[in-house]
Amino acid sequence: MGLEAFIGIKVFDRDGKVIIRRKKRSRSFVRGFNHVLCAQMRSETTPAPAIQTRDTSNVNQSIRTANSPFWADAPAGNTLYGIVVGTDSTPVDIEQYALVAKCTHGSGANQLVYQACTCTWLGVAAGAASFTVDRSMLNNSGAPVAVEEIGIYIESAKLGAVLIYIMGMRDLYSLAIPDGGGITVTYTIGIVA
Amino acid sequence: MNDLLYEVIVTDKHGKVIDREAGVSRSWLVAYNKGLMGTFSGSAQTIVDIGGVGRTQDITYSFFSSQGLANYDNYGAVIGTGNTAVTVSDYKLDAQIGHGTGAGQMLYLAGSVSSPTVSASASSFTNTRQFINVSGDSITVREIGIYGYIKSPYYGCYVRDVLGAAKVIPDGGAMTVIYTISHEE
Repeated sequence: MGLEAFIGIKVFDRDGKVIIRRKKRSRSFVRGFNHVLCAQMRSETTPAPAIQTRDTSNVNQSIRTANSPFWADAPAGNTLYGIVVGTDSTPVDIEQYALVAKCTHGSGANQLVYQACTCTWLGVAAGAASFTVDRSMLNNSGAPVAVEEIGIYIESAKLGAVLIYIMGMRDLYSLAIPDGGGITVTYTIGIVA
Repeated sequence: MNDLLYEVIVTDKHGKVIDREAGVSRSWLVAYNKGLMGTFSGSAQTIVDIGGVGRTQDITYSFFSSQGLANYDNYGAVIGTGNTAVTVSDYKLDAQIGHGTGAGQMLYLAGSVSSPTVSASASSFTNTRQFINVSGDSITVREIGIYGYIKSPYYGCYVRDVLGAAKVIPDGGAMTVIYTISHEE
């Protein structure tokens, strides 16, 4: 009942063979998601909004309604928003504003090659209305990458339509991504009456 | 974890609390999640409005706006007399009570959406509205919900709940609806 999120994981080797497949309930939406939702519900447009939250660079930002407020459909190579992964296992806290140690885009040590992030409406079935957000990341670093954390960064806006990036969700997941392999992360966000 | 909680408070003409109910909301509805998907993807979705017509959402500034204005019964917290069981595909209240002073109507006051607060493990805010009964007779409320913008001037039903017990609002009395939207780690 209510709003639910699940994370599906597929880790594959250099031949594309799936070597790990898991799914679990998402641990948490963090404060950033709720603050952006609140700004939209309030139609917050005032010059000094009461709604403030830290962006992914740890800068306190005044949030207002945005174009588009929850954008997560990041293009390939962009780790400012969309699904992101990292290598730190610090427990989730509601106040967190970023992954603790995000894997950046690239082929160096502990880097991953981020593909485009896509969203798909699944429709209404069996009493649930759901959509997915998914992204694949390839490991061309020359060594395994130990992923410990997964999240969704969203693109939003502050006064003047300046884009800002807010972490909406963070979850822990311990996975080894082999060199030459990759990972596909699928968030399923659904409501069940 | 995500919690959507509701509380309704009924008062008589003297402001005395005569009934109260709090519970876990039955559900966000398809309009909410499809709209959220549209804003995630940047691709506007078609969402059924409260008139039963599919509308292409505004994925920008006004989407989700649900801080109702006084005298407007088409967005913000809303109330009704129906008790049909909730399904995720509901697109309106079963039988909404309209704004006014006539038989079966209540006055819709301005709603308010609070600033979010953050406790040790949760981020929360509220969407609140009061309704006054000056119809000359009692009115029985069985359902509550939240209407909000899909795209001006069209509105969708984001939340609907059937109350655990019907609430009788006496003439001169009022009902306050408080939804708490909370995300917990």
